Amino acid sequence: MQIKTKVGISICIIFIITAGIVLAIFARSWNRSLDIVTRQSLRSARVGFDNLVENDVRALSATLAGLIGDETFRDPYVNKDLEGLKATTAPLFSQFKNIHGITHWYFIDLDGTCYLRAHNHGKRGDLIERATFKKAKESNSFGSGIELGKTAFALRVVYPYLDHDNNLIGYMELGEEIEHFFEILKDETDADYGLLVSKEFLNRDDWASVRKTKGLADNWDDHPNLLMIDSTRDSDLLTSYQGDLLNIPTEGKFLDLVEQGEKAFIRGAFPINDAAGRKVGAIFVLKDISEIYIGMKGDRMRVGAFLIVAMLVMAVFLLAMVQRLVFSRFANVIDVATRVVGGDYESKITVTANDEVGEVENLLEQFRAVFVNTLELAEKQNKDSSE
Amino acid sequence: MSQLYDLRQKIDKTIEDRSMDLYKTRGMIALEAGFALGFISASTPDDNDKIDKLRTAAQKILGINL
Repeated sequence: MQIKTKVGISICIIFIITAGIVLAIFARSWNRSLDIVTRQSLRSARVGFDNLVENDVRALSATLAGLIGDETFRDPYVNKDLEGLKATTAPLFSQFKNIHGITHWYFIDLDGTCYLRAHNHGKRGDLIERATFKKAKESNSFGSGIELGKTAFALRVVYPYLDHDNNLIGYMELGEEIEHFFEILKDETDADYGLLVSKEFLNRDDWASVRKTKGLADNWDDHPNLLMIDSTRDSDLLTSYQGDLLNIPTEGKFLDLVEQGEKAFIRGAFPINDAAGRKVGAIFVLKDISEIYIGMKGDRMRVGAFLIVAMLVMAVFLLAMVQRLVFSRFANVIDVATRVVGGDYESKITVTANDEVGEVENLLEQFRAVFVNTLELAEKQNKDSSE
Repeated sequence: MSQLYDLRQKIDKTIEDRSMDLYKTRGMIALEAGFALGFISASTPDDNDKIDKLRTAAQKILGINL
């Protein structure tokens, strides 16, 4: 193999390794950027969700504090005037529901028996055993948190119900469903959300019934152990993830990057705990990063193209330089040596530069001079002897 | 006239007919054969080994069978 070829191959190998390293650095930087975007999206979602919960707990608590002090409801409750309590709560609950989104209003007796559901007069007398109620009972103060019902999550606030003399007469509870949180989050963070719940906390038939009532397809079998009970986007991007979402860390986790046509999305999730501290599901976050992704992809292609062109130019330049400084001068030496052997004693090796090859040229020119003299002498003697 | 000298003349003729660089082509044949063609004269005694080498070199450089 010619030295020229070896040099060319070496240059190519060095360039390929260099390009690989540059592209690896670029890929790492790309992954880091993706990680930052994902973590920011998850953090925004997590913080946004927690803030919504906190704000609504505060609003429900303030409302509850007002209701507890209002004799309009206290008197019929203390006097066990059920019809009177129903009559006084009905118009206010209607207002609560329509204006403030409050969907549950309970009057609970000291032993935990539900005296009245202002939102559902037909159901009463059952024992309330929810964690928020137990918290309020045990702490003799507010008990609040998210709790999973048969088919939906509700944010509940329970507070001890006191009479004029601050004697405990029972408990009052207000609650709201949390579906609207996700539309608010979507507006604030420009991402889509899906609320997934572990199937072990839900009833299959109840869920089928709810979906049927809403005119929606039964999605029970979409995921092996989780059920999407609410989402801000009707897309399989939210439901197609089949991995384990229950064992993700509290701060959330990046799940994957999904490309769909010219769009790109990152998917992440963070767990959701109920008032009892159980991990009951996860909030799935879907963020459209098409603009960043296309930009980064374009940058990657531009860097790749630049590297290829730059390396080709450098390879051509290096090979041309080596050709000019070394190989073409050796070719000239070979040419002169060949001509001398062929009888051209006038051809001389020119020392073209004061460098390493120049030293070789100088040595070979000296050798040529000695060789030519010897040849001329030998030819002369040969001619003389033949005459 | 020796066979070697005859071969040399045929080689020179071929180079001339083809308008090739005389010195360079002779030099290439000499390097291939292992001896200079300038030393071959009419009185050079024949040497079978040199004749073979010259024929092989001429075949390789000029592509002719001598």
